[in-house]
Amino acid sequence: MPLGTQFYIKEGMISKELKNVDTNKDGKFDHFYFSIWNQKLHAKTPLGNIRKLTLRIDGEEIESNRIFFVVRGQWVCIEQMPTISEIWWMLREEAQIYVKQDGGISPGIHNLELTIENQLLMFTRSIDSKDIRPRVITNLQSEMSAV
Amino acid sequence: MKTKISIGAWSLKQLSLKGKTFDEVLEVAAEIGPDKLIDLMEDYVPMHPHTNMYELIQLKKRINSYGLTINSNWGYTDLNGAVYVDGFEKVVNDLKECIIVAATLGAKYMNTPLDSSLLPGMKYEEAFELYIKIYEELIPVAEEYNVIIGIDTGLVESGGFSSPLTALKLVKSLGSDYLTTTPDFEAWRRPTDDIPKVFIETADIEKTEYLPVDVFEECLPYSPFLHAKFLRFDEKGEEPHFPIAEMMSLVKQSSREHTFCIEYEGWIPDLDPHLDPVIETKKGIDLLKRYLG
Repeated sequence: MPLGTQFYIKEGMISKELKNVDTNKDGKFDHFYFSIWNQKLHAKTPLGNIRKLTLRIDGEEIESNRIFFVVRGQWVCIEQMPTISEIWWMLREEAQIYVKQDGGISPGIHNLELTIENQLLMFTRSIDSKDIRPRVITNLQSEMSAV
Repeated sequence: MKTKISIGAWSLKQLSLKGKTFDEVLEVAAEIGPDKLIDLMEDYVPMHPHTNMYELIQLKKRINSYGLTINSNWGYTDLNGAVYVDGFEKVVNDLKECIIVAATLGAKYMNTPLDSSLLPGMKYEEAFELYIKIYEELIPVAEEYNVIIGIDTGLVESGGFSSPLTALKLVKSLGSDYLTTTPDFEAWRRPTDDIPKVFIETADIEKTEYLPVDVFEECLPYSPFLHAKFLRFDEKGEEPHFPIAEMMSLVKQSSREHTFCIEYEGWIPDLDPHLDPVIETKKGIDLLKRYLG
């Protein structure tokens, strides 16, 4: 049981770029994404260990049904992420957070705020589906450049 | 009294979190470990969501190729919570798998922390009975695979469940050589202003208590394996937050063999992340060697 209040090494945890992509190959951008690395002190956990994830860009909260956590090519909408016990995010593994947005995001600098709520039912294969334990909240913030 | 020193992968975890490969971690452990032992944790072991036997055996070979022997694997805690969410059978089966994983790695110990607060409305006795039932299921598997279960906790909950006192009571109740306590120095640390007063998992409760050294002495006959947690060394290489001299004096008088897992934790973001964890881990080794002779 580590001391302190920080669950992650925050430095270097998220990328500095937002990238537009055309996932359905119709010639138009339909999502943008950034990368995130698992730098949790006790890292290896099922995706459902993240009970809630919220994202604000330039002060505007993104609707949860437009946010996808992608690990090893597997797309999980964050609304369903708390139910996922069989997909694990490994130590220092890179994942991507995609946001569905027609046309992508405009070029330039954007302010990103990411909040992750992890469960404290720890080091088991269980996900805290009954919310029996408190959560640890981690806030990350970054200025990102869209390309 | 004979003692050995093993390198806890936790001591070197910052290296991994900052992008070093596991081979680089193993190189360090092989270089600084006086007895060429390493204690693993689940981040490094292919056991989730399901154990990959091929990768597990390859991992053992890879670690052995550095001249290292795996002393323990670590995992699974909050059994109160896990049983409540997923049921007794699922949790017991997962723990049996942990024992078999440890055996496959050639580890002597499977360490499982006791850190598990009571659920709302749950009484101490109820949790204690649950743990007894769980360990009654596990001990025959531990015997079959010749893996010793260590119950570890560094918490001291006043009148609460998570404490070395509970681990000791469980071990004494079941009376098996395959169920032991793994005292964590943390339980004997005196709270000071220079060290965070909370744990991540219990951020709303400040640490104000610690156990008397007498309890450490009482644990020793049941503790072949111990967690030597260190947080911050002074300029003389001492760790003033723990009663090291008194504890090591008791270890020297102990009639059984003990293996210490060095758990240097000063690398966490709230302590000294700027320090080199390899140098600090070595200080922990030197400190134990100095006191144990």
